[in-house]
Amino acid sequence: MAIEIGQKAPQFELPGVDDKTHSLAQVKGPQGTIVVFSCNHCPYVVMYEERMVKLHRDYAPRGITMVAINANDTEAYPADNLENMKLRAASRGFEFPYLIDESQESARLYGATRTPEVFLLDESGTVVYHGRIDDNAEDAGAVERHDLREALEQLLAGSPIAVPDTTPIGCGIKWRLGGCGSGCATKGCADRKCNSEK
Amino acid sequence: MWPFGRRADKLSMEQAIERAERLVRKYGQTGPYRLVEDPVVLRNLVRGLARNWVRHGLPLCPCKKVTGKREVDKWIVCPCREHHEEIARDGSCCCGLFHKGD
Repeated sequence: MAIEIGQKAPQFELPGVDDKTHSLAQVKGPQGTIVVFSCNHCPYVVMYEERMVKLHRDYAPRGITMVAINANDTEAYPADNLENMKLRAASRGFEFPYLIDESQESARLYGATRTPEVFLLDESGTVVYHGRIDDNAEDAGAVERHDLREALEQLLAGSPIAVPDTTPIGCGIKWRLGGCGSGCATKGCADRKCNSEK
Repeated sequence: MWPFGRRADKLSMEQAIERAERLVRKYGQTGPYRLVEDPVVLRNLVRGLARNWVRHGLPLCPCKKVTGKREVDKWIVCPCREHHEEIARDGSCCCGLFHKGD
């Protein structure tokens, strides 16, 4: 379950495609921060990448920064490994940090389950919006409800967020075997720690 | 015989959306899992299935990689082969269409 609205966002310190380590304290914007769990291969992320770039361009000058975190299991999904993240960030023109969460700890702490899944933090690092970017993944021109943009405008205006929680549209985060921490002992799952917790 | 009726290589998007919605609602009613409740998510996933139905002739999961090889892609026809395992592990299938029942 995702971290609740009104809670402080968990800190992170993760390597990025620029070969530098980035913490939440470093990337946070003076007015707020968009933390988006993302990856390379999810078709829904691909549909939203251009919109993510535009969101950053539109809101960074207004004091709200963006950071993308890829928590997918890169052994099972090599398309999501750091080298491919570098290629992706370059080809798509990411101007925001794109970080890798190899331990999947940050994804678990945030309670993220999908890609793309957004957490909007206010200037103090409190989660004020969680969920999807908008209501139409396939067609940016046919969006009826710009959920994240509406939350951003309300945050900047100092107003309460009218719809603070929406269901993200996208693929499930690819947990490492047992990495989900559910202890479910799914058939074929070889995670010893997970299974030993049962 | 193809389990979801006539193969549909030449469906229009509107026809494919109608069929995809019927398919997932039927499985949500008769299968062991409940269909996602959020209408926006449902609409997006149905459109994703429909897009694949029009492009590839099959209602392929919108979250999974399409290879173009029918013998491989048949495993990602919705509800896909992995959905039981995904729901047991994560509470929902990869795309979030079907969820563990209450």
